Amino acid sequence: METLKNTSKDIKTSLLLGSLIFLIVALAEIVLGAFKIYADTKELEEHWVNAIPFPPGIFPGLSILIVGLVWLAGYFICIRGQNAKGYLSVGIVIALGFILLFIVILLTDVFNAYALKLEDYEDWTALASLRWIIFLSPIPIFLAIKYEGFTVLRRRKEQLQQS
Amino acid sequence: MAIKTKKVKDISDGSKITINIALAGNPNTGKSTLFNALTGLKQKIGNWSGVTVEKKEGKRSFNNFELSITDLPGTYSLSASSLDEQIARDFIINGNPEVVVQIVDASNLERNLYLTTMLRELGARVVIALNMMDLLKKDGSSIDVQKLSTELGIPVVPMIANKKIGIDDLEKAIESVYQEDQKPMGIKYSKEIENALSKIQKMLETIPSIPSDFNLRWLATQILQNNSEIPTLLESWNVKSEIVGELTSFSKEDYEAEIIDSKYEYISKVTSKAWKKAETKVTRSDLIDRVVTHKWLGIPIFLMIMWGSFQFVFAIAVPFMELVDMFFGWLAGLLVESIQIEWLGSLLGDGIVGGLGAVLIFVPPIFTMFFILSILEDSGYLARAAFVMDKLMVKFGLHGHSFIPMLLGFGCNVPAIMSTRSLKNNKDRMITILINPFMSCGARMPVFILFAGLFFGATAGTVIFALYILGIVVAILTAFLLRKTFFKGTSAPFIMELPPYHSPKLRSATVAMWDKGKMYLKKAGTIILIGVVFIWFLAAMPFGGVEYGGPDTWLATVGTFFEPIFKPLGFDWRIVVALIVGFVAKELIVGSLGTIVGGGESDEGIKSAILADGGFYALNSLSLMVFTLLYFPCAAVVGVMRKETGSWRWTIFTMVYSTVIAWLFAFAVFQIGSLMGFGL
Amino acid sequence: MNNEILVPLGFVSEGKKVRIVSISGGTRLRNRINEMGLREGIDVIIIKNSFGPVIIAIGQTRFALGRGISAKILTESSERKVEKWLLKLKK
Repeated sequence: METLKNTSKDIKTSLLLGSLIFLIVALAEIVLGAFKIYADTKELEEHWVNAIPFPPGIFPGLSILIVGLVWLAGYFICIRGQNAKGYLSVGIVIALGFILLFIVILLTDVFNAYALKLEDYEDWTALASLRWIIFLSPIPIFLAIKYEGFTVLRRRKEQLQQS
Repeated sequence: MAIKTKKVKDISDGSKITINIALAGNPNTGKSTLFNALTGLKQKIGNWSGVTVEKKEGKRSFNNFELSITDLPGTYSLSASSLDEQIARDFIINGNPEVVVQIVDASNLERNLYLTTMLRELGARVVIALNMMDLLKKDGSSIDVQKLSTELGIPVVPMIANKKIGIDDLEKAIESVYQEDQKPMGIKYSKEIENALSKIQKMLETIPSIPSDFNLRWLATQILQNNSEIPTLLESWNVKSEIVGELTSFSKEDYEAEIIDSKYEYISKVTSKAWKKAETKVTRSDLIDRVVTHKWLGIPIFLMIMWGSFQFVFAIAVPFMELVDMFFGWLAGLLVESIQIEWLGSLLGDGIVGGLGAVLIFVPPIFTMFFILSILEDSGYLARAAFVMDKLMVKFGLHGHSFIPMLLGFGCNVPAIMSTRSLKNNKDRMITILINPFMSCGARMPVFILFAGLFFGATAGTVIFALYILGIVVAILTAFLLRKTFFKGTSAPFIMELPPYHSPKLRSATVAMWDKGKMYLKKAGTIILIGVVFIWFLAAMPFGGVEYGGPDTWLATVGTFFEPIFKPLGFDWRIVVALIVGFVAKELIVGSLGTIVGGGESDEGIKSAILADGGFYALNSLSLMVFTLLYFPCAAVVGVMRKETGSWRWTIFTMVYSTVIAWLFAFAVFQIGSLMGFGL
Repeated sequence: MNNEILVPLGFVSEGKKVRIVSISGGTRLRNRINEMGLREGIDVIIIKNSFGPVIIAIGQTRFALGRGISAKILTESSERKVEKWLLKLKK
């Protein structure tokens, strides 16, 4: 049974660490992504930001940011003595959702480049579609196994016992 | 032996007994799951008489019976306080269903049985399909099905509809109910009410013009509860107005409340022996709700989910679109090469393959869009999005409930406008209908994907996302204007059930995608085909000598005539023609551009044709996208608007208003863009 | 009815269990709400009450109620002891 009060203090550290990592990476991707768009539109090929191979864009960074913010809010909820399990779960679901999304984008790009051999993809490399949230995937997966996976397994067990 | 009996049954197929069944139930009880489980793919979608509200019918046969099942709208009651309830009630009175199957959520027994009492009061023969039995144990509750059935006096079939458990028993129950009458429901109201009821009933019996099979007790209770529709009903039977006045004088304001209370009393008496109630507990779903409806995080989460959805649509769709494009390019080339008759080759190559190809290429993104929308709906998130938007919507004179039809408009505005029928306040409903065309439907997506993809490169997804947001903003501002001018007043109180989260099922999302998407395919095969042939005809006339789609054709004459109006938006005559044709259906915009620009002579698709053409560039394609987003609702939407608002005046208002707004926005985009140096 | 203080639903704090005592704001509105299962005498838990609509739990059902309507639903605490103790504290 759940309550609105805090029952599990052990997620506090996970929330804080997770959110800090996500927030830092998010800010980096947003700022660098914005520079990259700037360099692209002004056609500054020599711009320093082009030395770092990653796709331009601001929204992909925002997708990391939102996860970080949800977990950070969860951390403060924890400190206030309320139950933050919801924050942990929502962050995990959003993170995994976006990781899935960007992996799908990566795969379709691979398909477009090598199977369909589209013109737009002539000098495409995997780095041009590799969003940073994909590198962060161990974190939500770890959290999911640690805090969510257990309950899923337990539910399975209960179901088996019932039937 | 078994095989033989089966054969006998097969032979007697022609003489099967048809049982008309209505499927009723509260919202969020798994009604459509049960309907799909019962009917499989044997479904057809029609209209309810009088209103264009989607009516789903399906068939199922077993033994010697064929069930003809009608899916009623999900309602809490039949008191006709919304159009949904009215439709459900009228079908039970006039549609003559022989058996009503009510699906009941086992974990919400009390509330669901309220509808049962209303169905029984109407005289329906009811079978209860007690769904979600598997969730009871988890909640710590239990139902003695046998006892419940005895207490209610009607069959109760335990089911798990999403696992198709209990369907056979449901068939048996339907068969038995069909063959024997049910005892009347043992509900007794207070003495005062019962006296009044019998007096009214006696008076009604003396009126010969009332159909003999009409349920007089129900009619009496309605008169007593001061149902506002009753006087008209009585007048339609030529009942004299003095008698109507005398009848309605029995009603008192408190009676309805008293009747509702008595029904709940009856329910608690019935359930007291058979049902162990679960204690109300905070669940995981509640903890999640506290996050997604969070003061600061709610709206960002919603926006990121929307953005992610559009990215997903875009990513999945692109390779499929390329494949379709390649196929049509190959087909067009083949046709041009192999057909010797020049005009036929041009009709097939330029007209049909060019135009239809340009439309069919957008089957993948539109299907993906429907897929994602139904996943959002199934998971339960859509209701939370409505919640999150409530605060904002209230400021603009609506409430969160109106946001659900808006989001559904991202698929298609026609069903979205129909879904407003669950709104209880008529002014709310009118506003919600009138603003719906600004929500960008799937048919507008082809224009966005084509031009954003061509001219905005890596940021295409974000440009499209921004267009959708622009649609929401214009819709909400329009709602505000309407509320301040023509529809003054306050909106109905906001009460919305938040269904528990489900992990979305791939199968049901695929079925929903196919159900809604096939409409698009159908359109492509009919109205769009006619449209592109018509455009081809204009683009090739007058015959002989003129260059196809060139400046001397009839098409150019039409386009050039209107061109001055659109010049400030950056559109040349070809875009003008496409937009004019788009009045009928928005798919025709790319369809006719495909016919005009993307000729079949080359084996390249519409994309390369547009790139090679000088008339299109980033800024005018942006203003084209904005114009397409906002202007004139398509013919189908005009039709459904007329029917649902019951007013030509408002329908015409929307047609004019949206086109003017579209012109102004596109004008602003093009002129400001030109000033900033983004022109050609 | 009794000597408890009635609190509108919109002012009950999160996580509390309360009993609905009366629904004001016209019989028509009250009847419609009753039909949805929101009735006098039933217990609800306030799941969320901080911004925008209030979320309440009745059995397995969750309702979102707008600010306007939640001001019209009057409740009394079903955890009486706690409430009285709190009242004492406030005095």
